Amino acid sequence: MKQLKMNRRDFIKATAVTGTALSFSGFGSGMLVEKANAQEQSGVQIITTCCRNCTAECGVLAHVKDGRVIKLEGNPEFTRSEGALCVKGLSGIQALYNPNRNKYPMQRVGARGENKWKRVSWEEAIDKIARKLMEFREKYGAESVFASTGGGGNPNFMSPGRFCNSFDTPNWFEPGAAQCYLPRTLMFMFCYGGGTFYNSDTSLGDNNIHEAYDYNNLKTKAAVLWGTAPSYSGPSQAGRVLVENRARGVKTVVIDPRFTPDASKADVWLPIRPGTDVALGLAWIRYILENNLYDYDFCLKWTNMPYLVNTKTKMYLRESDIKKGGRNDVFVVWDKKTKSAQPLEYPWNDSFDVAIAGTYSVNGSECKTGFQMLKERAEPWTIKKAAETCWLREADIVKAIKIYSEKPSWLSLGVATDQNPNSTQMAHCAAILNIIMGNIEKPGAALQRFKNACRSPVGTDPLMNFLSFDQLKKRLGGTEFKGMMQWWTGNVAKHLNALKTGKPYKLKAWLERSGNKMGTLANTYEWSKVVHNLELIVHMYMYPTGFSPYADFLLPTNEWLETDLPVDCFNKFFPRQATTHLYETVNEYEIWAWIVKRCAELGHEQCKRTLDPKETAPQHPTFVDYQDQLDWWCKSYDMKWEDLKKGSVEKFPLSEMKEYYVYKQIDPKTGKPKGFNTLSKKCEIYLETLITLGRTGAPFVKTPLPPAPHDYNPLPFFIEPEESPNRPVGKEFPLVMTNGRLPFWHHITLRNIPYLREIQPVADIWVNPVDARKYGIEQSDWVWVESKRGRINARALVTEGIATGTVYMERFWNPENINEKTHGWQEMNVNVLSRSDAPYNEVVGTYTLRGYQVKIYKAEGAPKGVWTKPEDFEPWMPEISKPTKRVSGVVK
Amino acid sequence: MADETILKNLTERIEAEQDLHSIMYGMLKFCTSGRTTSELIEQIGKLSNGVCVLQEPGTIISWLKNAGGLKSESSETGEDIWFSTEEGIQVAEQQDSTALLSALFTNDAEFKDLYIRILEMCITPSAKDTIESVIEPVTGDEHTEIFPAYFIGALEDAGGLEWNGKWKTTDKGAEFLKSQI
Repeated sequence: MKQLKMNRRDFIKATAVTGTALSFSGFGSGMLVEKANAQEQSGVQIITTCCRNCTAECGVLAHVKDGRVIKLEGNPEFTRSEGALCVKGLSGIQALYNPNRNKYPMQRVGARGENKWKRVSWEEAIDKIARKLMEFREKYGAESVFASTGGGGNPNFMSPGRFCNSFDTPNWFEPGAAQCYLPRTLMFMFCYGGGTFYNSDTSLGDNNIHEAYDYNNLKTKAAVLWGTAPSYSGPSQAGRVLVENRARGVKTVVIDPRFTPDASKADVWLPIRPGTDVALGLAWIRYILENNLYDYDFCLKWTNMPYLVNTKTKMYLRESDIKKGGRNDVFVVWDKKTKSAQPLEYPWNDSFDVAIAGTYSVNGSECKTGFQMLKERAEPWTIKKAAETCWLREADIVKAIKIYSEKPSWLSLGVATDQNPNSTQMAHCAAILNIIMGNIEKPGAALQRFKNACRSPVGTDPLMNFLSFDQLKKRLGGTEFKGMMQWWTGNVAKHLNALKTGKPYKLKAWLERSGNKMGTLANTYEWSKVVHNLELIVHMYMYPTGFSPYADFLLPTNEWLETDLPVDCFNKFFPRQATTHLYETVNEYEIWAWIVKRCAELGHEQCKRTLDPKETAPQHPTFVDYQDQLDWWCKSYDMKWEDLKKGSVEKFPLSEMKEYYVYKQIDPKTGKPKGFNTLSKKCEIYLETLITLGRTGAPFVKTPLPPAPHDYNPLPFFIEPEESPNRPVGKEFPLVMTNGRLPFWHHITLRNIPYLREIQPVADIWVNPVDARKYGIEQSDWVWVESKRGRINARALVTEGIATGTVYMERFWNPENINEKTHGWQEMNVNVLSRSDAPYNEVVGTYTLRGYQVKIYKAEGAPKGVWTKPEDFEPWMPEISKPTKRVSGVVK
Repeated sequence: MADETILKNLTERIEAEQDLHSIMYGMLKFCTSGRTTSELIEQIGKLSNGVCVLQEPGTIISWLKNAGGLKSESSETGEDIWFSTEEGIQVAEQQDSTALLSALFTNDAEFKDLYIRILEMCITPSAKDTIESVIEPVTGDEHTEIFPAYFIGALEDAGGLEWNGKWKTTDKGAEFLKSQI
């Protein structure tokens, strides 16, 4: 049945125009693009909802007729997107009605990997899963069970973590986390201390930098996009507002190996060698300090840069160190007037002439100011050295810094630098660069504490306090990589190691809710071997993917068009409403809740406690009925879900959202400025907190954990990539591989959407013409791409949009081959090539997804079975089915 | 003469089902003489030792048949009678040997004493928590700990321990223990 098929012309028209009506107030009135509303028909219901094909969550108006979704358009009322909707969102109908959706719970009946299934009931699936989990707990310990999640595929992101804390296993991971966003959320937390998880860093792609959205009142002079490509990752929001910013005179610098659309419009493009960002970051810091481009007053009075550090202990001097009975929360500065170390009570003492730089002797101990230590750390990184290391031109680097120095400015750091072992160091550099320019909480700056900052109540309370301390100590990677505790999650590589070696204990069960771990985890072949060491694998997702054949149970989950969820956006609270429901699909939140409930029934005392609101307060209990969960989320707005469905709620007028200089506001309890949510209440550059984190786990735990193998470094430092063109491996594998977003996908999702695959049917590898000639490759040739870990195919895109010596591929898998031996993940999956071995980032354990060595050479042709022509994707065209009732009563 | 390829494939097929080793090897041993389907299903129930078996008995039987470990003949009543093949018998017999335990003690020689302590302790069936209360984690490479669960799992894989509501030293494990003390 195809009567609801949108024809290609309409689809292309819709994607070409991200139009909007004028927004009702505040942000964004007067966009560059005119409105273009979808046609309406009679008998059609318009349902307000939100997309979840990526983290932007753009507002959507779904046109529904006879229970079927027939059109999608952006919702102009949704403040961040203002009616824009990208191709990912517009593909929602093809995702919803994809004929290959998981429809019913399925259990494996063939060998693992054979992809043979039988249908089972939800009751049977949940019961069996729960019984096996309880068995593993008794035999091997709860820690033998682990879960995983991911950002793609309509996630209820914290549900796996909450389940694990309920079950008392410390083990769950995300292919992202240490490789995506965690380095930034952690380091900005320590350096800036915004006080909330979201909106406390400068990731434009993660809906931060709200100043950029108020583009009709712009104060920003310059913006640096470092390792982020908003035009690709968030065309409807971050990419769109960046266009508006540039159109209104904001100068931009793009630091990215790729010539992205953002780079094409930038004032300076720095095509950096992947993996060398910290070298460039330190060079920027050195140049800014040397040329006095930093905000001296802000650095002196509102950062910990003048505080004295004992270079032997590596800790800040306290008043208690220099004076008997002195306070432990008062830090020490060097007073130039008295030429002595003096305790400086927060926030400031004008009677001192405080030295921001210098080395001093205090009671026989060498002490340096934080500023001095940063200066010395950056000293080797001249522009010349950075240019050599990063494969850039000196003049371009200087020009970029000078643009950034036009204040107020902001520096947005994206995921690229999270994906190699220098991850937290680069996040640290980015925080420093924002802070030393004084680009903090002033008009035009990225780091702000506006009124909307808190995203709760819409979040799954993780119940972290339920995980026992003894179990926390067993977390895989927990001792070495304590930074992961900010997300309360484990380390990917340590999970792989446990699966391979059985140490420190064997893993028995894997509960996975995300798209295709075979496409997102590094060094995929290793994972494909170790899955056979498990006794139970459960995959919860909307479709079978390259991971599914390895599972024992496939549990069908809702698409975003089938999901109810409140969504926060600036000053408003929106309903993402389910527009229909198909087959026996279920919100993944419910699956976790049902497993917990069943385990409780089978005797798991802790799971039982999670069902009791008195035990979990103030967090929510486990609701086995999702309706109760929805009402919980809505109650802080004094309403129920049914009320929110009637229309969005305005928390406060948009005009009241902005609050600048929050740090200067007087705290009525103390009578002093609020400062920042850091150890010193000031922005922190030298991070004693990192040292403490490594030694004890503070601030994430009160009882000290065993120490990490060595102290974490309190300042950024650069390590040359392990696989480097400068090392022997560079002889056989001479090209540096990177990856990054394209606008058609979010992570590894949507490769099964026919129209999106038409636009980008296969994985391209971007090759510079110089390298192409060198290796005898021409445009559109099929090539082999090989690393030390394996080889894959790609189609060559010969372009000057990637520097010589570097190549680029996005992640990819081929759903059309899922029933082949390759399961679709071996043909063009760049993560077959990436590294899961050490070295790892010392704080969070990042391995290497970008910045490793490959070689390329011609292949005979495309891999067997892959689809490339538009007509190939016909079998995936929407298969419309009647709406069904929601599944209920699985556990009571 | 057993076919080497079938032997290899059959062993790999059984080893691929981590939670069914003892059941599948036990089925092959049970069918050295002919068994009806209902007898075999009943035996699977006994071999499960009370744990939850995810797969239906018919599925497990088909796996062993497809891998060349079992064959069926029709009886006079038309009922299937199951026999282990030559390869099935040989694979089952290999499980009786203590070769895997020997290999474990050789490859993990630094933990030999620990393994002996656990095997001794589990002559009397012991809960995991009980084992953990007397066996401390061991510091391994990179300052990380190796927990008692690793040693329990290793002994189980080598056939020295089995689960029957608690961890119990197998007959094979007890026999091997005698040779170590």
